Amino acid sequence: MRIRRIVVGLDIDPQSRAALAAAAMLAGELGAELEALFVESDELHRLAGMPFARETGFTSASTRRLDPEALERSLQAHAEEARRAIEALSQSRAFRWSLRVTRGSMAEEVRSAATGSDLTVVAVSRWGPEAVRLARETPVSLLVIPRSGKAGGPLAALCPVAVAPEQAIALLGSLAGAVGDGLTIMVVGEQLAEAKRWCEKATKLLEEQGRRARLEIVRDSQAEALEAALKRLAPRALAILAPSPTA
Amino acid sequence: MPNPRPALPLEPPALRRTCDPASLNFKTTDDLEDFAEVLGQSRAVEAIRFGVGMERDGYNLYAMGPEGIGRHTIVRRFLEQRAPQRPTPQDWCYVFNFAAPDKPRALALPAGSAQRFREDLQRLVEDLRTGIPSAFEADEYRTRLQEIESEFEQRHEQAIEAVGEKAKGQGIALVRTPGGFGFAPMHKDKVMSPDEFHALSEAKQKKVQDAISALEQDLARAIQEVPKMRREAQRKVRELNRQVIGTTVTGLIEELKAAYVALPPVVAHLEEVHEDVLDHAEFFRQTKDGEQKSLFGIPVGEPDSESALGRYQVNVLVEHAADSGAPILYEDNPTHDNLVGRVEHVAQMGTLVTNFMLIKAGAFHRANGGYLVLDALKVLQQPFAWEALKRAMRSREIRTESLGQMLSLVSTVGLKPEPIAFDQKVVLVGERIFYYLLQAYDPEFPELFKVAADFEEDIERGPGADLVYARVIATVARREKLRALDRGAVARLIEQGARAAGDSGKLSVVMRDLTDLLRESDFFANAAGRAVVEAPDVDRAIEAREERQSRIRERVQEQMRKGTVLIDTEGSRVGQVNGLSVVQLGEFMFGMPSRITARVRLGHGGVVDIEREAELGGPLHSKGVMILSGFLAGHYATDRPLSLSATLVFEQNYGGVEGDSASCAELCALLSALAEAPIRQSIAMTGSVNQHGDVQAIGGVNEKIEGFFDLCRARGLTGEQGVVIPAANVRHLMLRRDVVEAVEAGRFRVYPVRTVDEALALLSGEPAGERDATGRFPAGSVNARVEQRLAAFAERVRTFAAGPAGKKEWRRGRPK
Repeated sequence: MRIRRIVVGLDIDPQSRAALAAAAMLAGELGAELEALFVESDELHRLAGMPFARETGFTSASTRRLDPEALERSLQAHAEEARRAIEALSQSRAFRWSLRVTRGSMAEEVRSAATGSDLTVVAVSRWGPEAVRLARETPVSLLVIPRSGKAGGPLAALCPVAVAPEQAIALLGSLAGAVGDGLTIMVVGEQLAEAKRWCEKATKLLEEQGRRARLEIVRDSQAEALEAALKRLAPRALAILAPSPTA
Repeated sequence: MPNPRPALPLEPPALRRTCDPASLNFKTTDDLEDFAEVLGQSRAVEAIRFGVGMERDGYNLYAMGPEGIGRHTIVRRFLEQRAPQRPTPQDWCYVFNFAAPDKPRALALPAGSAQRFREDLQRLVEDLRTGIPSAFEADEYRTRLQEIESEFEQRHEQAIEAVGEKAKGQGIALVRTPGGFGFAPMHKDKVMSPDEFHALSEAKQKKVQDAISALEQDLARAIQEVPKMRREAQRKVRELNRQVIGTTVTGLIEELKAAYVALPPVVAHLEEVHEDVLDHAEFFRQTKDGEQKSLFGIPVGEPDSESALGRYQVNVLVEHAADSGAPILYEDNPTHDNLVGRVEHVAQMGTLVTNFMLIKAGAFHRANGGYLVLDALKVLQQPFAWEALKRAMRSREIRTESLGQMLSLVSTVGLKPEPIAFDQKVVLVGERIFYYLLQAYDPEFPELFKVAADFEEDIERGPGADLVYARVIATVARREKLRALDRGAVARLIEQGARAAGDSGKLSVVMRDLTDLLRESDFFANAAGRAVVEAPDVDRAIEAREERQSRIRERVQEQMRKGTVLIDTEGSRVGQVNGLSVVQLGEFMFGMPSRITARVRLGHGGVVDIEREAELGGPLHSKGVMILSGFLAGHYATDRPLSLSATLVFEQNYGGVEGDSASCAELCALLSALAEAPIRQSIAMTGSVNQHGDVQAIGGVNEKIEGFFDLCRARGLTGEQGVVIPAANVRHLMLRRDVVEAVEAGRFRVYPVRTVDEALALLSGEPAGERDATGRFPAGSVNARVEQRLAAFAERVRTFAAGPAGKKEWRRGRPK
């Protein structure tokens, strides 16, 4: 499966830089076009509009006034910083790119932008409901870069049995080459026999391609179980595969 | 009492004590055995033997004597005999001091093992560089590290989320802002818009705002807990690191400790290394090979020792091969830093930095446990070197401290290496003057240098001495890989040895001069195509050396020949004598005649030394002249005042004069002037005189005679010319062969005299005259005329001083 278009969701969270770096690396490696989406949180704008709007500093723990105009300038600065970062990355990795600034929620904006793309990359601050919601709502395969993702960790993939093994191995082969050291595929299937068959087929495909991966069967893809598995694996990134619209 | 017979001229054999080649029982020096002993230095040798063998504080040596005597060679020879019998000193290293990094620790190891220790530590670091990263890559470590990090992040997030949950319970959302978090009221699971908020009643708005204020305080408290959580997590990570690498590190270091179990300080250091490695496991995971550190994009060069792992290195300061004995070190350039060692610096980003690996050994370190040989003058010339030497000897410690630090000139942070015990014998080699000056002016010197080895400059030329000297010549020739010398050449060298000693009864043991002359003789033998050095080669070498140095001498003689400098070598003149002086130009000395004149008149001034008045005369010369007054008064005017005013001068002397060797000539000039007795200008005179009129020995007699001889020869030897010398100097005569030949041919003479009367008789050509039984000089004799003149002066003075009548008489002719 060829990845031609990658959407990356960015916001004011510093973790966005990790998502951008991973997406840029993939775009450069796979020769894909990168569409960056800088999402200005709708909630944040609403907060700033309140007469009592204040923010408490991350590190200083001091509370100060949150001015709508200052917020506007800050968001513009973040978007500009993202633009410069993409530009710099594109020069070193040679890929085409575009940047769009939108307002809304990250999940909604990414979901709407993902249509027509092959892969969506987002950063999340931790594993949990947010990641699960994104996975559920994103129509295409999703690469999640968690804050806890460390260099040297493997690429973990959450792969429903509905995704054809050929499609899964092709996509993960491309991703594993660019992100993470090693590949662990968590096959999600309620029917154990079906999941096993999937694994056998995938193993065969991996052998044919000369790739190595660890396969695990996960019966439950709920947040808690997923979080436990990911805590154990400490992956660099998590790929959540979705059946290809064209598959 | 009859006048004594005038002094007779010396016979040629008395002018030069020759060495008969036939008396030497060998053909060439190849037939002679080496002379293994030290020629003529038994006193110095005993002192060295004592000083070297005496193992007590303060028994250090000062080997004194003039340059070229062979002090260094002899001292070294004895040290080389002694050194192998002494134990080989320990090796010394500097290692990092983990407790005080600015005070590197000194470690002593058995001789020959420092290098191994250094390599062992190097290998340990290499092993740790592979072992520790492997331990960190293990799944166990990664999992546990992840647990700690996750726990921290979880606690962090949970703390924030707890506030978020609490807020949510109150219908308030926790919203991320660019710089932190904010709180906003919610409506239907979404953040309320400002319009919706304004639509609330004031009471509700206030309630919301109060709730938000409280939540903000909760959030602030949660955030304030984060650093504490982070510290806790870091402590856990450190503990985890220690546990994970503990097995690897402990195994490797225990192995090393076992190898050095006999050396507790080394084991203690290894234990400190152990603890430090456990605490700084990250050092072994840092910069990968090939990755260069940079600052603002500029590559930062970093010496290996400066890197984090550099602290485990070993700086081998000084090492010795096992069983090599005590070291002997001669430090040719004893600067302060070369003695005590130095701490070097390297430039890094425009600043100078240092570390324990940049401590460099000094002479004290290298000679420790053995012998350190230094030139006294060089040590004294180098700023603070003498102080450093004394401080180390006194404190028995070697402190490597730069001058900048010592004088507080440099304010940068430096190192203070741990002092090393100073255990060595110091041998200072220097001239006598420095020894006596140090004895006089440095109170510590006698305490630190208790043994003086005083080297002789010459030996007695007793029976058999010539043959011993020949063996020394043979030894030097062989050592210098020169041609052998035949008997004639050796005889010439022996004669030259006596000439250099300035005494026909002695031989110079200044080995440098002898060696130089041998080399130069060999050069001329080679030029002449001879296989063996012969007498003409030695003669040529001596002449060539003189020629090379004689430009000034020739210029002086030319001026005398041309009459620019007035020196008569024939005829007679009242009150004028040819004195003799020597000029020392470096190592070259030559004699030259000087015209000395005397004028006398009535007065009370005694003898006025014009050289002194003009500040051209030195104190010894002035003393010589003052003695003349004593002689005159005691010899001629014991019962009347010495009513004389005389002036004495070295004519055409523009450069000063020192010494009393012309005092006899000056006295003769004075007596000639008083007696109006003409002095023969064909005879020159040298010698000092005492108040009794005895002529005393002087220095440089050979050069003085040759100086006058050269002038006379240039003008033509008449047979009348000669030199009067003190009889006490006859034993010092080693005149040039051409002078001796002229004397043999009756064309030149050398007269020895004992008294001024003898000298006066020779110079004036008439008897000086001795007092008879009645105490009177023979009538008409020189002495009688002198006495009469002085008596006349005294009488005139008495007349002048007789009283008013006399005074009126004297004033009679004066206009009123």
